[in-house]
Amino acid sequence: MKSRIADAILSRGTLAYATVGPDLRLTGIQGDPFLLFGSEGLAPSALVDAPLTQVAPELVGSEAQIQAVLTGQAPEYHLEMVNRQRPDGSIEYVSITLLPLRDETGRPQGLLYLVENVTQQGRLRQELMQRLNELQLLKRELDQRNLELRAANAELRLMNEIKASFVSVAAHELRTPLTSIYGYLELFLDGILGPVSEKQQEYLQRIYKSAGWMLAAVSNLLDMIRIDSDRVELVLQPASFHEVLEGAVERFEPQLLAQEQQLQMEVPGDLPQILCDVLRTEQVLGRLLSQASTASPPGGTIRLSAALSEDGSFLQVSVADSAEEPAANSGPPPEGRFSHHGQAASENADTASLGLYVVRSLVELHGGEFQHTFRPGQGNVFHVSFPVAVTEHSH
Amino acid sequence: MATPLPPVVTMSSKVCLLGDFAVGKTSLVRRFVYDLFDDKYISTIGVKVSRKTVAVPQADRVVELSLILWDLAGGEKFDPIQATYMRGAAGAVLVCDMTRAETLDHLNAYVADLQTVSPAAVFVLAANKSDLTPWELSKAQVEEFAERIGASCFFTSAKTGEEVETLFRELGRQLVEKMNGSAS
Repeated sequence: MKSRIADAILSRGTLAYATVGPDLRLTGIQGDPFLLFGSEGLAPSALVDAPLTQVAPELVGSEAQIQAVLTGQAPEYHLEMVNRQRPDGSIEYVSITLLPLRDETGRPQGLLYLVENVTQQGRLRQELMQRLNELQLLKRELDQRNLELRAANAELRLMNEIKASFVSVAAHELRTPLTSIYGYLELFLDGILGPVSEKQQEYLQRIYKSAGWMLAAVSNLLDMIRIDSDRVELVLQPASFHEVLEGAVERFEPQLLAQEQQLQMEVPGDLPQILCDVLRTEQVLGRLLSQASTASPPGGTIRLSAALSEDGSFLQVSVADSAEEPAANSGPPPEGRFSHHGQAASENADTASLGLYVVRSLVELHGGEFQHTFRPGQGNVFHVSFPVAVTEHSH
Repeated sequence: MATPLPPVVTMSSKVCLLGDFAVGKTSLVRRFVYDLFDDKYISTIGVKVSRKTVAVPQADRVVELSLILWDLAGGEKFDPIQATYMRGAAGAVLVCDMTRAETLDHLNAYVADLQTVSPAAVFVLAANKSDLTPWELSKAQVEEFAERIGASCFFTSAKTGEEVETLFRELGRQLVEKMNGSAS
């Protein structure tokens, strides 16, 4: 009966065993020799009488443990997940257990060398370990790339700071004499420094206009540097849009009059307060109006409208010009702000581009959005939005 | 009259390969035993036992030393099963990867683990993947580490085979010397 049970177990092919005498030589083999010793093509009978440690190299170095099992000092000796490689390279996993063989009186007589095929479990573990190790290697590589990127970023930031500092100094140096030139030109044009001929007046006007652009460019440059180096701090407070707009229009009026242009405004009277930095918002509206005036022909019309967004959380402001060409920078300002325009017709393009970049950045700092569209016959339309102030009343 | 051939003595020693995962332990064994190399990384679980005999000439005899190489799974944490595998090892090849600095530092733990179960084991250090660049470890760092633990070190490449044979032969020589020392 015992023998039949053993045969049934062995027939599954997952177990094999060998009996070992007290001299540690094999006395009998049952099952697949590859499973037992990793050797293929060997007849079990050829292995009988072979020293155990010679056919099972996994046991070299474990002589003391084997002896302990043999003498009954240890109940067993066990090795897990021993790899067995087939000639085709595939790996099978086995667990090896050495148990004492005792006679009827219970005295140790030899050993039972028992091998169990645990390939299924081994392959699952191997796959898991493989993924885990590969992930760790990948993570390490990512960490390294991150470190390199951080270092490159720090270097770029440093270079950017140096550049910003240089541009800032240069802009400040330019602004002082320019302001003086601008002031003297005004004195000439107003006739305070004596009469000027019509021809002189015409040329002085051109110089005055160019100096104005240079001043605006320098001012935009300084703002851009402040924005890029996160040095713009907004003082946000609930404010009346009408009052902010009034301030912007007041400063814009001389330009409007000089160009004999018209400003049409569609602003409802009952608008809620917006949450904004009053000076910066005036600057945004002023720059948009100035940009629209510059792009429109003399005698043209500039339209400004304001309305609440659908959900009432933003005030949307649009400024439209009557230009026949798209504004200097209709793409995203940051990419275009240093573009070089070689044509004389675009002499103000970079200044406008910088100005629009500053506008967009200020609007976004407020949490609003900036958009620019152009349609032939309808001109450029700049859309900006500002958050509506949440007051107790609005709750 | 022909000079009589020196007697040949056969011995066997268990040698463990220790180090982090993916440092090239399996590749070193494969290069040494079969003279093969495969770039593909396949992680080892459990233990893979291989055998190769090296001849170690002595003054009065030749020792044919059968190195029983235990290629163990590399992990970062102490695993009690690993300790079972390490027991009875006469020597160890400590393996680090020249392109991963931390793999050298981690060898400290493997040395301590092995010395717990096999205090008399001898070590050699394989600074592997020496053919790859950039190195995160310098030669001096590796040599300093090897000196501290009393091991010979070799800048190996399982890929090109550089120093692989030399490393195992040196280990064989040290094992035989040690066996001679303990026998006398």
